[in-house]
Amino acid sequence: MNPSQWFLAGLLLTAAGGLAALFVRDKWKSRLYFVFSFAAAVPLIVSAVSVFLSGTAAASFDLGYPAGRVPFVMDALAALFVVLIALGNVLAALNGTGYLKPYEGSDKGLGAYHFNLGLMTVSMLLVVTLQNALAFLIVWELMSLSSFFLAAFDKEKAESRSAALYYFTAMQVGLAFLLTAFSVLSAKCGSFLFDDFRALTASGGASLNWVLVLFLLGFGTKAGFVPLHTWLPKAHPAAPAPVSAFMSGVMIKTGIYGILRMLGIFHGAGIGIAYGILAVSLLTAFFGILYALKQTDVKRLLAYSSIENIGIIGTGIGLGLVGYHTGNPFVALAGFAGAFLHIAAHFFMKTLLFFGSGSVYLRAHTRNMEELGGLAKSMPGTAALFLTGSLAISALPPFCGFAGEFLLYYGSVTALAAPDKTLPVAAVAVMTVLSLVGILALSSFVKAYSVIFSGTPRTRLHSDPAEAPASMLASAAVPALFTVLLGFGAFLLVKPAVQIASNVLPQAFAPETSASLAASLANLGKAFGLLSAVFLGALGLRAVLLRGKKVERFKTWDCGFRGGDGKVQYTATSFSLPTLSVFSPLYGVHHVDKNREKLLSERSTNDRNRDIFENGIIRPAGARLKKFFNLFSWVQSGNTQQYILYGILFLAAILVSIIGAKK
Amino acid sequence: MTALVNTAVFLVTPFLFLGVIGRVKSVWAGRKGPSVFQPFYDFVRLLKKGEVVSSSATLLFRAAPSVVLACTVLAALFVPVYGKHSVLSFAGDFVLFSYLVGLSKFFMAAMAMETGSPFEGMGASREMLYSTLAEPAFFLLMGSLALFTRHASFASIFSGLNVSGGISLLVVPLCMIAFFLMLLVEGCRVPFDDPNTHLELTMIHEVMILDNSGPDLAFLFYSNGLKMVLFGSLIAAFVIPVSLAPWLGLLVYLAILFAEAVLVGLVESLVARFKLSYVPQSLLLLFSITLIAFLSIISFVRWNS
Repeated sequence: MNPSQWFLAGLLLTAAGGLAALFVRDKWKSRLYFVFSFAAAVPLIVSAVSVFLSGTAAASFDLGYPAGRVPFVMDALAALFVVLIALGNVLAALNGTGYLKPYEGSDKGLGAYHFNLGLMTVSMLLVVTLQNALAFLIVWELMSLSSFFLAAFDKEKAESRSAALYYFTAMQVGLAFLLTAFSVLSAKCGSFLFDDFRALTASGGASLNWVLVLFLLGFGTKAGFVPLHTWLPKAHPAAPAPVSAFMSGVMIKTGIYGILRMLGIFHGAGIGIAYGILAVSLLTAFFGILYALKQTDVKRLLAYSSIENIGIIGTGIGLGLVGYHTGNPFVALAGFAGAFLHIAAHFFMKTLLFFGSGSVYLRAHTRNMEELGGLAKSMPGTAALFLTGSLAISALPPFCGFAGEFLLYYGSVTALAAPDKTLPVAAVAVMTVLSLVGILALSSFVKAYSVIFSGTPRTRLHSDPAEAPASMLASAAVPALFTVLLGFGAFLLVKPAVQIASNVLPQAFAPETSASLAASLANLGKAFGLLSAVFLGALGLRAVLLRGKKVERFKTWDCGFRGGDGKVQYTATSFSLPTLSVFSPLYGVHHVDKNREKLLSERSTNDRNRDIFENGIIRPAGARLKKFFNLFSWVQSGNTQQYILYGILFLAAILVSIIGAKK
Repeated sequence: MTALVNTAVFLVTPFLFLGVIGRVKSVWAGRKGPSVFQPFYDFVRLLKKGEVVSSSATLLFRAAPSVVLACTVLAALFVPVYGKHSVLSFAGDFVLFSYLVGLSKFFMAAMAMETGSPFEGMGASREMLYSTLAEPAFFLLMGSLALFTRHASFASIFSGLNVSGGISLLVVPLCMIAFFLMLLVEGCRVPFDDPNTHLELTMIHEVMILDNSGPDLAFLFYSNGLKMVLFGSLIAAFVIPVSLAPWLGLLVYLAILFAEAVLVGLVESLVARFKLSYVPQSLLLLFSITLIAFLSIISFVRWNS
């Protein structure tokens, strides 16, 4: 079989899994879907790997009027995403077998859930491989719709419904940008094919750059770039954990895919766009993590952290483009390779962390960190996995998050030496912002891990939490393993990264460029090995020193104050307060202090977080739009006679046009 | 040879560094004070002891000191000692250096939170604040120096520094001040933190290790000293000319470390710890200094190109 056939087999198996789940009993739905998703992942990954080994796979089929010929192209860029989609689907399915257990036999609609999961996977697989604008928009919209239904899984909760609707609206706004941009291109060249667009932009030059900006806005909404990110922190917490993981780990990356594909079609765009992407991405990374630090809901924290990571990926793309336009192939490759590595890294880290948050929610029935504490004792496996994810996403060695960011630093350091005037300044900005983002991420995830898993319980939970089911632990252990493997073996991924970059940039990289990049990543791998060895040595030394000595357990030093219980511990809010107070002008807090005049025990204060982009840009813009559309509200009056009048007018208009055409 | 000498230096100097600081402080206060070897005796005594572990802590609490030790030791391998040689060196190694320090901070803070003590949570939270303000300054400074020297690793950046040039008269002192401030922050010394304070509420580093004992405490104690020596070594690297003979370079290096320890001791004798709300402002001062260094370097580079 050739790669296209393997791909088709995987596609059909995924769809079959989604359909089959409709027809079996609740108990078997998630297991059956998992079997199918696993069976689908094998051919999908085979096809993607063969693309990396032996070049682009292509096929084409005809849909007839109006779409016409639809080319199926799996190049290295698409193959990267196919791997992530296939793996994400399997992991979400496996995690679902545990997470969805309490919902079996309820009216939640597990059949529809799995059907939509399958549909979402199929549409994403097509999004990254179809190169016909009309077909692309159809599968793009299918992806948004199916994920909307998944986000609305807890539909009986008002919060969940409004979050899903918010998400749906945001996706339609994004779609409007894409629709306009694609229409302009296809009107200009009279075709829906990406190849024809590519020919058009080659001759059109910079005059079409505004279309590219529309594409960036449309795809940026899906990816979650500031200020179009506001749907993420609403939709991710509302969705069930496996879906949040799938959305955050894979779906938002289709926005990144779109941006990369369009950059390829626009031949790497111009230097202005490159600096624009870099600036917006740095802003996205910074605000994403600043707001993450503020959160007390663990899934909202993870959602904001996804925004941060999208910013880091965008920084890589921006740096790569700037390097390309200023004639620094090394910077270009380091930027793009960093971005690609981070796409994969973020998939594993975020899947792992959302699965962890799902296990916690399953057992403790809350996402509010302030109500948790000390879970590491009852859920040691979940705690260890969540810790791995936290370390990885804080970009700490020896995990994969560091390898990706290291490439961005390395690219920036190289850019410093460039003879260009602006580039060194941009490079120093990248390094400074990345380091600030890194330390804020560290702070956020120390907080997340420690408040949930360390110390003692802060409140009495409904039931004593037990360890998560084996299926959920297993589904989290796989990405955890990859965060380590990718960290040590990042140098192996330079060659695929060069292949992917060649689908984006009209430039081939010299072998010595990629070799020196791989060499520095290999150095990193060695240093990681050394770190592990020294750590094991220190543990061994400790064991030897403590042999035969007394090691006793005693309560924590409490300074003679014996009245405290779990509530005296530092909370998520108090932990992040000092750092946040430095940045207080950059986020809004609505501070409610009830019963000010009363005794302390009767008082309650409440800080509500505000996203300055949501309150400053998105809401006012929405309000203006609403006002504008209200001008036309008389059209829909609810008056039957009026609607009949519309019908008559419509028929009359058709009559007139037909008569006019006859003449 | 470099590896041997560097290892020996990093094994011995952290204790002496702490010893000299203590000695300077006692002499200034008119006391006789403990011997400069006292920190080493303390260290050995701790190694011989058993441990008391908080009942609310898990495995993380016991593994964290070993992680901190491993991170600091590995970070030391990238730092140039005498004649600008480090044991390991590759392009961008200062990034790894900084993130290793970050990894140790993660485990320090997580370890403190393990105990469930409100004091230790407070310490962890404040440590995060300090790091947030100090970290970007480090990268801005290293980026500026990399731009200045067109090199990308610790060892080559410092060997590429031309101390005699006109611009260096401005940049080098600025960088030395910045690195000295970082030494004080990272080493948790006055005026940012006071290792001798007696009230848990006013501690930062000390309160995070309140529940550690025995070998674990010894590991943390040594790591803290080593971290100060590492930043001290960076300052020394500015001053030592590359052309110096190795043995002479080593002597000058040790003399500079000694001078720094004396300086830290003097600062602690003369200055009180800052009020906590002033600390962010003083750390912004650090950032401003590095910003000035960056701006002067970038204008210098443009002038010459």
